[in-house]
Amino acid sequence: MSGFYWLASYPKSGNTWLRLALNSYRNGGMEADFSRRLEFAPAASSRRRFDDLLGVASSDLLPEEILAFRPRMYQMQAQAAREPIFNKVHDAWQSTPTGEPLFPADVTLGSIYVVRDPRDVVLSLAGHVGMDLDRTIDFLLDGTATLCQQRGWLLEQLPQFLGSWSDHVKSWLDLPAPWEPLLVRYEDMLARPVESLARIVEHCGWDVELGRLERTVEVTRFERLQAAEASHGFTERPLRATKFFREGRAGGWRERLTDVQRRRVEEATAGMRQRLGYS
Amino acid sequence: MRVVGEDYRLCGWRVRSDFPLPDLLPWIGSPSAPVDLHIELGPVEERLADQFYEGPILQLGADGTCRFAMEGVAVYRIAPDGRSIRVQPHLPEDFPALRTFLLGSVMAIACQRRGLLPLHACCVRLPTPSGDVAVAFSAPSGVGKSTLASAFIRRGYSILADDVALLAIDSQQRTWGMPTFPRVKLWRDALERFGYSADSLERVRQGMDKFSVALQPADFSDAAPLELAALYHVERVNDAQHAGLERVMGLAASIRFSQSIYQAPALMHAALDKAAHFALATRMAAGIKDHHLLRQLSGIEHLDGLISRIVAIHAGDKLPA
Repeated sequence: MSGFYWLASYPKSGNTWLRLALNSYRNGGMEADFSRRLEFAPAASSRRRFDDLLGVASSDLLPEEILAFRPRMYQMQAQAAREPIFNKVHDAWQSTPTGEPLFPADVTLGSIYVVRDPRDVVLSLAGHVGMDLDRTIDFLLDGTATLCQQRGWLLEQLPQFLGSWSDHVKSWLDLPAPWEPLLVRYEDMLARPVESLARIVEHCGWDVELGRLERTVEVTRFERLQAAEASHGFTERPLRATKFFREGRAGGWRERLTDVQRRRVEEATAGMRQRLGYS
Repeated sequence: MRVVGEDYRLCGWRVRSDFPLPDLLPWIGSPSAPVDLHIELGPVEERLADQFYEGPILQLGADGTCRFAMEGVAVYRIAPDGRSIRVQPHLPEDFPALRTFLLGSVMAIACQRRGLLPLHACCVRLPTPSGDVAVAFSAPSGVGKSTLASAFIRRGYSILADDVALLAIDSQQRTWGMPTFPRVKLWRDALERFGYSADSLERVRQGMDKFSVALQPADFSDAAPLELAALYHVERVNDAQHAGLERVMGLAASIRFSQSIYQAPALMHAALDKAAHFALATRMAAGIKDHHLLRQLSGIEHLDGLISRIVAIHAGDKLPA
């Protein structure tokens, strides 16, 4: 019996970077190998894992049935595990239709929530899914936003309810669970990478070693990841994105969003931005 | 009540059912042939006696009886020998959802009980210089098995299965693909790309955008089992530099085969004799001549090229480089 560490975030907020850094750290500060699929911290919404463990085709289930069964999948997996399991999560923290937490408390060892300035998320998300900025802002502010809906076609991931950006952050920061996530700001990962990673590593219950942290930060610097993608591609790049590792910087919104676009995002996210220090 | 002539066929078995199974073809064998599989309506107990395993959906009794429960649809009880399946519906019997689970996970367990293995794969009939063979393409849900099967059909080839291929092994240790039933299940988007109209089609579940398409006789290979000449494990990639075809051999082939068994971990839970189940999987993998890892570039526009390539490989009876 073991449990999960949930690496949670709104999409395009640094989750993949975090996974690459943790994977590198646990391998002694090893360089990322982009010629292979990143196996560390797979998505909690994996359709294949759901089907395999529960013995039913999720593609024959309705979204609310899938949601109701997902806690069982995590419990079954934790039951059989000897080591902590790391999973990437984009779902908002939520209850299932039967009123239990989607991520059960009894199999949760910890969680890390990565947050990024929503104005930069807009830019990154637009490039990632190939949508224009206005439509991306619509999505970011949509209280019903869901990834991988089973509508019209099937994707390899199960449906993931996000809600609006503010709802998403709130769902993880104020969740009614006996554990609190470690909040990590993307901007701090950029500005103070060693210190940020040290907090994360400690939260995961791993030994904090300075040399290893420094090596990890060096091999997962954004330019290094961009270079690796340029020569090997990246298996998680979506079809419509030209690059997965696009810019990675903070504050790009100042140049790229129009005043109208900026105001739309700012007004809808004011309360949460203030709480997180995104003025 | 059932009248004579209403039995069905699946994998060459005579199937008798207490409720209509329009997905299956009618029985055309001898009227005096014994019934191989009986699907009956009746109550299913809440808990199996002497439970050996209990999961959220599956229960396994110590005698090998299996119980599969889908709340709001039906509960199914599979006999230890896989020769009868009892169904206690929560929905009217003519609801497609009842058949969706019956012909999916439930049938997979029944087949496993009878020495067949369900592979999460579509299975196509292809010509070779030494006669027609079965070729299977395995992939997890969402990669496009049914879409690939439909693309083969559009090119004039027939299929043996669209999502779950049923495999048997003979006394010479050769693995065979069994004919399943003449349906493909497609989501609306793929349906429209292949020119089907959703209006006249049955939805797999109410409220779901997934439809069951009945195939024309020429599109389904029903005649006899075909030797499974090759198994392609399909992975979808978005980068051209990640695409390619690679032969898999020995232990790696065996492991990939085992992982491609339909709902493999759950089926292992449902197996009473786990060592025998594992041994069968190993023998079946060894009974397939060619195993390949196929990293296929995403996009329906690449399917025609893929099909031409696969057909050429088998028509030439040569191994790909």
